[in-house]
Amino acid sequence: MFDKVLIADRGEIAVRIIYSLKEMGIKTVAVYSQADRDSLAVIMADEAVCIGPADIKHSYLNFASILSAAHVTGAQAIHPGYGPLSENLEFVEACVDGNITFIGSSVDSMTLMADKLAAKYAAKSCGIPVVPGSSHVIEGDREALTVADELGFPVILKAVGGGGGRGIKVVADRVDFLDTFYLAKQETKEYLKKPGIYVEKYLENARHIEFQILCDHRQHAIHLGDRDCTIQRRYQKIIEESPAAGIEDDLRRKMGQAAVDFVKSVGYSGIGTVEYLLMPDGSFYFSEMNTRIQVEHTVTEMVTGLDVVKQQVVIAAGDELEYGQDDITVRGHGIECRIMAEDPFRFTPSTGWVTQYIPPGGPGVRVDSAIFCGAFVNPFYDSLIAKLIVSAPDRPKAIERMKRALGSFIIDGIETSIPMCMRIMNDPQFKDGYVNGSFIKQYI
Amino acid sequence: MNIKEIKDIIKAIEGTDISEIDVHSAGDRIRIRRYLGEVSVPERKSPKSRKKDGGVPDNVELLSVTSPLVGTFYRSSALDSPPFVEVGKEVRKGDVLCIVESMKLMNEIETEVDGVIVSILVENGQPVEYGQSLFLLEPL
Repeated sequence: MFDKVLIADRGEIAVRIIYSLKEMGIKTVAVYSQADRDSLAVIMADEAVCIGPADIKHSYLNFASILSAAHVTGAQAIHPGYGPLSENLEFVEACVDGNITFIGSSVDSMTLMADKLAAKYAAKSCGIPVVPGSSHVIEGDREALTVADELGFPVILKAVGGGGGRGIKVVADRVDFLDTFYLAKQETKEYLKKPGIYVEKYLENARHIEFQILCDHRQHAIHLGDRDCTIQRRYQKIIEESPAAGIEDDLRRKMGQAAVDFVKSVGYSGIGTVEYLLMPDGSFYFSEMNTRIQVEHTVTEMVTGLDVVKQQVVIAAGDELEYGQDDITVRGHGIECRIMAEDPFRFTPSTGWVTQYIPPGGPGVRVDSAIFCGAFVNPFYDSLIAKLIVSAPDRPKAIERMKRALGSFIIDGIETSIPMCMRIMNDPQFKDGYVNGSFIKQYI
Repeated sequence: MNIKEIKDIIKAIEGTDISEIDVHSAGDRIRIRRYLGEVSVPERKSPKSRKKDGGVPDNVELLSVTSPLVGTFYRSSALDSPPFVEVGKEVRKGDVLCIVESMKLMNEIETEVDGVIVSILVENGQPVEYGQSLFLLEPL
């Protein structure tokens, strides 16, 4: 096991990772930009190293600075959090060159999953259904239109090197197809290292269901149940639940087993998330696999009692997974709300000093956050300031608990998305468990 | 809450010394802030003083030379060679003051102004972070 680990991310996830490392008796090194000098991760870590100015290009994305910080502090491994380094192949290679363990999946697994089409066809050859669509990247307008016509509208355009919703566009009508195709191509060229668009049938009313996977170097793989992440805005998740409401046990078991079979078939090691699209009739399709720790891992931790980050470190250190599938029990129901520093209904970012901060407590409530009274929410970074997670014996009780927790969460000085989360909790459609991708549209 | 109710609240606090009021009513929330006299910005509270702050004195006439990268600080180019500078030495713009080793690369740190070295803030072989003060110079 490692003696000292450097955390190459900021905000709530840096703090969350420090918690696990402390429990494991591992020393922690935080790295920070000049704008994060007074951040909670800096206060909590055993050591802290300033790696650059506020601009992430010169700090949190500065490989040389981060690796140098690991060398001067004697850290043997780097945890990349869920930020831009967590799925960055060049960074993983730089770590290998610098003789530092990257806490994440292997270069091979990451390379495969970073290519959304390659991952899709790996799943298909493992016997998992995939969404109908083009089998390769499409450059030409004419070919793209032919494929779209064959699939039938609506279709969805996706970026082969996608991430964070970049390049994803739904085209409802044939008349808009070529314009949207052009825009999507431009967007991937601008933002993604690996440009290229492919076309898929757009599955209306599909739910976004994902399975948390743990797999060690000996290909011992288990899953920690599912999460429902259907409620999204601009392809960014807002609310996550575990387990997904209204799914038969048989189907759940089938999807979980398929995810486990898939990671074994590709020789995966590390933790990860297999994402599916689930149709109302119970058919499901492989969507993609994420190789990083995800924001919403917390909701799985709430219902399984496992520490996912700890398992990630155990696997990265080359140790065996401490659990078998039979050791995993999902108890009750968990819900997570992502609290953003933003105007709750116009969604514009809100920055400034936090003048009052009183998080909710009580039974079944967890808050993962890096803010505190007197903290400054600056405009340089992600607007996620807190994750509020609750668990209760069943879904209705979890919703009631979430409403109670949201209602007593006090954050002053900045605007937050708490009111929007509250409105979703009160929505009859949400309460019924009828949730699909278009549900959130009424809130935009 | 309608515009008349909001106007009423504003009228109610006029002539008082209330600078901020938060009203919650039937699910609505409104906050009215007024600046009375001096503009006050909440004090920035740091729960713990910064780690590794080089200890720069409050002397406006001195300039500090900071590290542009994370690495290990060396005062000379090799173990057996003399330091680039000592306290009291006069330096010219472009002179090398020290080396910061990062990722096995030796980065020479130069002064951007003419001056006299007043203080060397870091020990030879010590790790330095981005923006850390390394030298204090009295400009000429």
